[in-house]
Amino acid sequence: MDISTAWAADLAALTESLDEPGTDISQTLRQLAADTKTAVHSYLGLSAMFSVGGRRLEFTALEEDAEPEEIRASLRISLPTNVSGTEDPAATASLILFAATPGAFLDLATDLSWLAGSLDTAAFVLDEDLTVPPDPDTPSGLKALSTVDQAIGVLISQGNTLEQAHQHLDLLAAYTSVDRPTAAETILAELDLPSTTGLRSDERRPPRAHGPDRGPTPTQPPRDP
Amino acid sequence: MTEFDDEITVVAPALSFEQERADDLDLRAGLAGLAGLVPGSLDLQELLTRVASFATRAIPGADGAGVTLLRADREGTKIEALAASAPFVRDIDEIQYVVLNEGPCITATLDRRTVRSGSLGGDRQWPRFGPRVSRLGVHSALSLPLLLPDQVVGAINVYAHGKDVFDDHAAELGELFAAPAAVAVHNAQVLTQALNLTIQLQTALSSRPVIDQAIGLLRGRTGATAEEAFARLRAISQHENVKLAVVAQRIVDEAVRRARARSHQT
Repeated sequence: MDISTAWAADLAALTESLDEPGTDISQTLRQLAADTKTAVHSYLGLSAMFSVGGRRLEFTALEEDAEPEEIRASLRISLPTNVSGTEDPAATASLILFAATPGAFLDLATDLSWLAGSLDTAAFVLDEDLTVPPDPDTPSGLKALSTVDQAIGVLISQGNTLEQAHQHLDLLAAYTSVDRPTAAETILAELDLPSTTGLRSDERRPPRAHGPDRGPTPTQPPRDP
Repeated sequence: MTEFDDEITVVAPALSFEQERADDLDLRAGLAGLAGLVPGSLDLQELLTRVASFATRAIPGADGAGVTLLRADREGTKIEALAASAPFVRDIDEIQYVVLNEGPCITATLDRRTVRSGSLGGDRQWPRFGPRVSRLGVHSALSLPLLLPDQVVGAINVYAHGKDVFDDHAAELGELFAAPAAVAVHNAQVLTQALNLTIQLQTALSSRPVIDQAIGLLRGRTGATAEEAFARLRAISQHENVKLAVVAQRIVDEAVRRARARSHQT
């Protein structure tokens, strides 16, 4: 199975977040692909679409030498989102399996549908997804979201509440006419400025968001009226 | 397909019509059970336990059965006992997979063939396993590989306390049972893997924001890099034996609480 470098990095970061020794999300993905290939010999690959808490992860992993043009059969599995205990009612989880032989998933779909039993939130749709979802190689945006959250953390360390930190980031983005991830990068880049070296830790990060009458800097939006 | 033990001569008595009919009914009941597996349940272990129970019912003379699967992880492929219909089967599994790494199920899985023995204590195929299991009062074994067209996914291991319990007829019935069981077990694995992926990705996606915020918070306080801050979080998590996301949430909550307190003071 061919997982691009960008997705592999995202999956590695997510595995770290999972904090479960012995668990590797890439390995789970590979095992799922291998098990599906055993059940359906013309299996070509899969697309995964997950979202929870405003974070979205979408990627496609085809088998080596498989081409999207070969797809003649698909099985979309909408999985129950409550299995992970998430409280996000808007969470979604879908997998699309692809194969080269028309009707290849018929038996598997019947079995899986029956095995899923009374889990009425699980749904199985045959052959409606015969193309790979667009832009499978585009980075997922997880890195940008990580940057934003780290910047929020920096702003909290400077004395902001969570709401104030978000507000500060929004204002900075608007003031400097950039998007939030770029504004967040600016905040994180400030941490690496040489002027901070040699200071005690509690002296390194003045509470800029609430600092008294300092002139505007790249990380200081105008005061919110 | 069935292996015959060279050391032990099994003379299978002719089956009476009633016995054949009873065995056939047992097999049908077992297969019917297989067809009704886990309605509404997605627990692979529960499914396998039921497969083991149905096997005990379907195969004449069986006192207990277990199911093992070939599992791949970071360290490679290994045979893993995942379900047993009776406690004594669990004890045998422990001897076979953990203590000795030797026994009929391992042979059946690796060689992809049915294996049986009617006198485990004297069976030369498993010189260490046989005597130990025999001392537990278990003398007959029938191991059936779970075969798909080009792959073995595991094995069903059936045991009996008496000697020479499993004859040709039992082996044939066992193979009839194992064929659909292999498909059911494998498809359940596909669904289980899909659910595992869902659980892992959703859990990770849910916990990542607060972990990133905690990383930023530590970076803001100490000037550390993201990697250093993450390492610090992980060290706290390991030291306190608390999940990373829980440590991160605590650090962020505490900082926010202080910020709120300051905010109210001013």
